[in-house]
Amino acid sequence: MIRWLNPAALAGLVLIAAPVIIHLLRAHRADRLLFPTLRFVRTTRSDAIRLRLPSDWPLLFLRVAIVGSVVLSAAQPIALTTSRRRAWNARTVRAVVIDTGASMRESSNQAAARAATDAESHGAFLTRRFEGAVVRESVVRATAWLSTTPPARSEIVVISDFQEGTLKSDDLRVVPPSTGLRFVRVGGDVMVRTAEGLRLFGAGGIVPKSQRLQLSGLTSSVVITGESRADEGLQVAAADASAVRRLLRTVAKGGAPSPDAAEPLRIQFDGGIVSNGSPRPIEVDDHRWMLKTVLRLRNDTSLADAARATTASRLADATDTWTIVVRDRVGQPLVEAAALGRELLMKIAAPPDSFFAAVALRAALIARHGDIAQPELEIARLDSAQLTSWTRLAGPVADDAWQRSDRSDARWFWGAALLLLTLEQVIRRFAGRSEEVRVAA
Amino acid sequence: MLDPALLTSIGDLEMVARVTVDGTMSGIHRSPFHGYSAEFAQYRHYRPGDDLKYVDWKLFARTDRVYTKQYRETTNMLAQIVVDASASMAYGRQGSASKLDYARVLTAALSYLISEQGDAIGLVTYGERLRDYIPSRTGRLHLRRLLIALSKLTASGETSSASALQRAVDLLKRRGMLILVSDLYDEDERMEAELRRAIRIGHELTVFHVLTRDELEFPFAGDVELEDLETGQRVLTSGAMSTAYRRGFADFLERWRRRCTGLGIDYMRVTTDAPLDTALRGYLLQRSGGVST
Repeated sequence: MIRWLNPAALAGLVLIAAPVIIHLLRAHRADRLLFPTLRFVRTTRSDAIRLRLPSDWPLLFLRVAIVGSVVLSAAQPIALTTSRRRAWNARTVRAVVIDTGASMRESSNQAAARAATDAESHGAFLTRRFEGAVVRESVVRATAWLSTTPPARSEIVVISDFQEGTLKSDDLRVVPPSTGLRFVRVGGDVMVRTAEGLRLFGAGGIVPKSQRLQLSGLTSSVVITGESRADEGLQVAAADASAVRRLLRTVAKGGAPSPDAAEPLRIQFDGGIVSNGSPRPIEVDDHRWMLKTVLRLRNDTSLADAARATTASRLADATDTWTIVVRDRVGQPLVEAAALGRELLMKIAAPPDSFFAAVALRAALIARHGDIAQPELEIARLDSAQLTSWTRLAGPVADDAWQRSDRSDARWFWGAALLLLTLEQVIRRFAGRSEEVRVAA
Repeated sequence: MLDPALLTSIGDLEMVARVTVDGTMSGIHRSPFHGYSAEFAQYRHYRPGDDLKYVDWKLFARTDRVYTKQYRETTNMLAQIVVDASASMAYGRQGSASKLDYARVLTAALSYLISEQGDAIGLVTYGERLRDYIPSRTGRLHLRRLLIALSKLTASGETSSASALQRAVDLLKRRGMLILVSDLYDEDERMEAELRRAIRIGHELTVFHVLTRDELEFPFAGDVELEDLETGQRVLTSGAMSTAYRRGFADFLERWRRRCTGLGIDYMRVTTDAPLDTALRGYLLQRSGGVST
């Protein structure tokens, strides 16, 4: 059965009409020969010649065959023979998904993953690696790639330590049933895993602290340690300095992430003076952390709840410089934000010793820090039985896989076209030589 | 057998003429050309091998003895070759001799032959009008001059054989021999009139009708547009017309053969693919009375 990888090219078969038309037109014009005298020559009517069919049938046939062969080769024919299907089924295209999450960066795991990857690279017709910390995303990419590879049995091999949560059954639904799945577990069991946690804000006699998380098979613990460092990256400006101190102490006591000198916050209350520079709007392309912080604040429900119980202490400036973060009970801007150099400046229209001020400052510190997620700390591993249940062999090549064939049979048609072209040249030269008439000088 | 294509490709016309004549004359011991101004010298007894036309039959009747007359030649024969160099003579297939090539070598061979006999040979060439005129003279230098003129001859223009023949006859000072080499594509009646006039004056005439195989057979297949070499006129025809063509051409040839025979003219039809020595030999034998074609 013949299939065409580029069937649109078959439209070019209309070009076969070209040699036919040329032959018909050539028939209109008879060969012109010189002759000594026309005394004995009788004229034929030109109409009779025009209606005549092409006389050079072999040449016409050859030319039609040449054009046909070229068009067919451009259409990329592919013969779906049993042997070709057998050859496709005998080869494998392999996508190797390598987990590069934090747990896999441990040296023993890295070496094991490298060895497993090398082993999987052999014996396949085509192999490609997909590395990523999120295995399910790598599986999606691998599936997409496999859908574009030449016809072959396809399989995905996942190399990971398979922490609990690395993969779920739903994550594997994107993989077609005919695609094989194998899971290679690397690394041994981890008994205890520790990681740095939050650094907590300290002020007004409350020392800054740092958290340390420790997980074992049985327990999870958070160790909090006081530190003798000063938090940097937060400035609060208000008319009443003592109120500011009370505010900072309140927030530190309530617990909040430490500010960061690399992403400095400046809070301005009524009467607070900000001297260095003038505020400007927060640009999307400029200090993305500022934008993220503002967006998180806007979604902070505790801040919104507090705002609904508050009335702004003054009217907001009517300029485009300030981005409104939250409004008060009557819709007046209560918290506004702008960029001030590399600082995120937040203007709070509430007294610094108010409840809302404490909520807003804490919310600002949390929003700047962002979400806390430590999935790589997971010690538990996916059950081997689970992996086995997901494992399956690669199915036979699908019927429509020929559409992705990397090699058509066009070369045979090209060869035929060249052969026919040579034959046509030989015939033309031979015919031309026999018809030459010489005029002697 | 001398291949015409090979001979015409050789530049040295004198050598070609010599080779052709040497090949032709082997076996022919008697000259086919005779002088006209011969003076009676004496009788002698007939000997086997003598030409019977010199036998004095009146004396034989009176004396019952066979004597032959012997003459003393006082002047040489005067020969003039008239060569058609009109455009139609240019025709010839690739790789073979054109009619003009063939006529050139034929004329050179005849000139060489006549000159070697000690007779005077001259040349007239023509196309639309007279081109070269070399008066009849003897001698090797004269022959060379004639051959040079022949080698420079090119085919062009329409045929005016009748006018050329008339002029050639007028230019011949006394009775002599006129050899016309042409494809004879001219007005038949005018040509015939001029031939009659030449015969009447007393000239001996020979016509070499030079043709190609294509003209005889019209070998074209399919549709062809033929262009007249002389007039440039074009005609659309086809191979299917070949029968009618051959019939018409055969009539043309037959008319010329009858016309020449009727006037006592030696008529030789030669085709450019025939070996030159064979054609020449046939002609000489015909003149000697041995073979007629």
